Amino acid sequence: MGITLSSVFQRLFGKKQMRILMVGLDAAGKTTILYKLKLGEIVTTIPTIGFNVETVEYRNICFTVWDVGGQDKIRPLWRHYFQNTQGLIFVVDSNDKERAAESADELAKMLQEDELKDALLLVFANKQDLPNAMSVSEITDKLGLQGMRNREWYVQATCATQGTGLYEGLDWLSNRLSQR
Amino acid sequence: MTESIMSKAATMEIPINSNGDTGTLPEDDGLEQAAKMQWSLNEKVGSSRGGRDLQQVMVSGPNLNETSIVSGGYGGAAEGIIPTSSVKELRMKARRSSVPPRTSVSSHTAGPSHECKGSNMHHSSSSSSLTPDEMSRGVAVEKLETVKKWGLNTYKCTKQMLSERFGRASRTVDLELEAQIEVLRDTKRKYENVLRLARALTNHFYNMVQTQHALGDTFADLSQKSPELRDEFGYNAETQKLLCKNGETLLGAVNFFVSSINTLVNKTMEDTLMTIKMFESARLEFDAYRSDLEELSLGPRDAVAMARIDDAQQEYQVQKDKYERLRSDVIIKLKFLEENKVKVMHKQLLLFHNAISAYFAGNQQQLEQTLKQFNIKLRPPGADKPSWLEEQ
Repeated sequence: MGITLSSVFQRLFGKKQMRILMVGLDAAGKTTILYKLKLGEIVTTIPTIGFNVETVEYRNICFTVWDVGGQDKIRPLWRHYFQNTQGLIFVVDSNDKERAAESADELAKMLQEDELKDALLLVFANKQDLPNAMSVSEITDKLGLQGMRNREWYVQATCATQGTGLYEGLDWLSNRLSQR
Repeated sequence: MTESIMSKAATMEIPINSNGDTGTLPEDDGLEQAAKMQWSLNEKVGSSRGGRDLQQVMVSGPNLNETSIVSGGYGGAAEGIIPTSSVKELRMKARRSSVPPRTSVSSHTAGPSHECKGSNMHHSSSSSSLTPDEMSRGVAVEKLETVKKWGLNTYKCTKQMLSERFGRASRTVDLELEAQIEVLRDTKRKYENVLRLARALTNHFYNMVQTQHALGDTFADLSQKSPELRDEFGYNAETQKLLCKNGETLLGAVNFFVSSINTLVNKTMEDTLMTIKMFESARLEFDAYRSDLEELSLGPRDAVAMARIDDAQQEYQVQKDKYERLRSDVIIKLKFLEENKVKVMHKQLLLFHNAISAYFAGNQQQLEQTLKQFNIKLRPPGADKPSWLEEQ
């Protein structure tokens, strides 16, 4: 009874919770994005072995962001963090044209997973400050997002080091979340 | 077979070997014997934990039959070996009463085979000729089947859980993994305590800083209004204001510490515990189907029974795969979690120590340096919750 009441209370007045999984190829900028969101600063990062978790509050929503390392050896471990994921942030290095196909592969593989079938997909087209960066439409094309059915997705151009685009992405997530 | 040995075997927990293999039961006529052989063989191979286990296993090997008979008949006579047939009757009765009421529709349209697993004895005369009317009710029947399946599964698991609780059923045990899980739960409890204490410290400290603030204001006011004590009030006001400023800096550090520990305990550890719960329920399910199969393989072997054993064998395999998959998931996640815990705690404990010691040594520079080092930004005092995110 007490638990029921408190969960009702939580639902009405508590902060909304959202579980975000942030993945992408290595050196896409996931950890930099995570700490830019958490601390508002650029921290020096090293390649993530394992994962980082931070809670970020924005627009009265408590985002729990899971940043899992993207090196090819540890990519099979992503699936361990799929459970209960409401939003998937897929980070792409817009400057890395050579590995765009690899990126698309990993994304497609992940989206087939049953545990992610209800997850919102937010793509961060990161490193937009670099001169040869692919545009949002190019990345949409490379990832094959147009042909995707039964999935809400959004591509956001970002530059983690300047912090541009990150909150716009979270805005999209929080808007979608509140519509559910 | 004396009674004491039997009851010992019945309450014993059977360790499995390292890859979780409890033995695949062959489906031929020698099933029962072969199964027993397989069991004790596996135990011998798998028990690298010394002679004690082996000895237990040697006792448990030949007694497995009794184990499952007793577990099957938990609703009836509590002691002694029950003849297999009476167990079956008991079981059938129990099933009939627990399975959701079967309507005539379902017994007409239900397929002749697998979905009525285990309880299809009394309506095995299903007809394959369907009228269109019945076809239209197919969806409803499908739903009913799902409910029935769910009910049967729940019943099996409940039965297994109860027999385990009363020490009548064997359960699959992975000593090493369960020890690790227990360590995690213990760590979580202890960290929760740290979290609680750190929050209490924050509260006390917050109140102190507020008091210092008020005291500083009052001193400053008095130094204006009482010329005879102006200097005395003046330097007290200055001191309180300085303390207040340092206190707010320290509060920033302790708040950061609390929020990080909170994330670690209530998000990161909780996530692994969620997987562990799934693993534990898969274990129960697996054992339920395992004892089901063992029980069936003891019964008579006419054509119907053989079909049922085949079904049970399939179900068993499905559950076994699921159990093993979750088991390896848990192992990996525990490793990952351990690394993350060390990384996070290393950083947070360093922050906590440096901030606290700098504050109480009265070293304002070092205190501010610490916060800078950990990239902590202070919220403007008074601004309650609009975080820096929204200011941008």
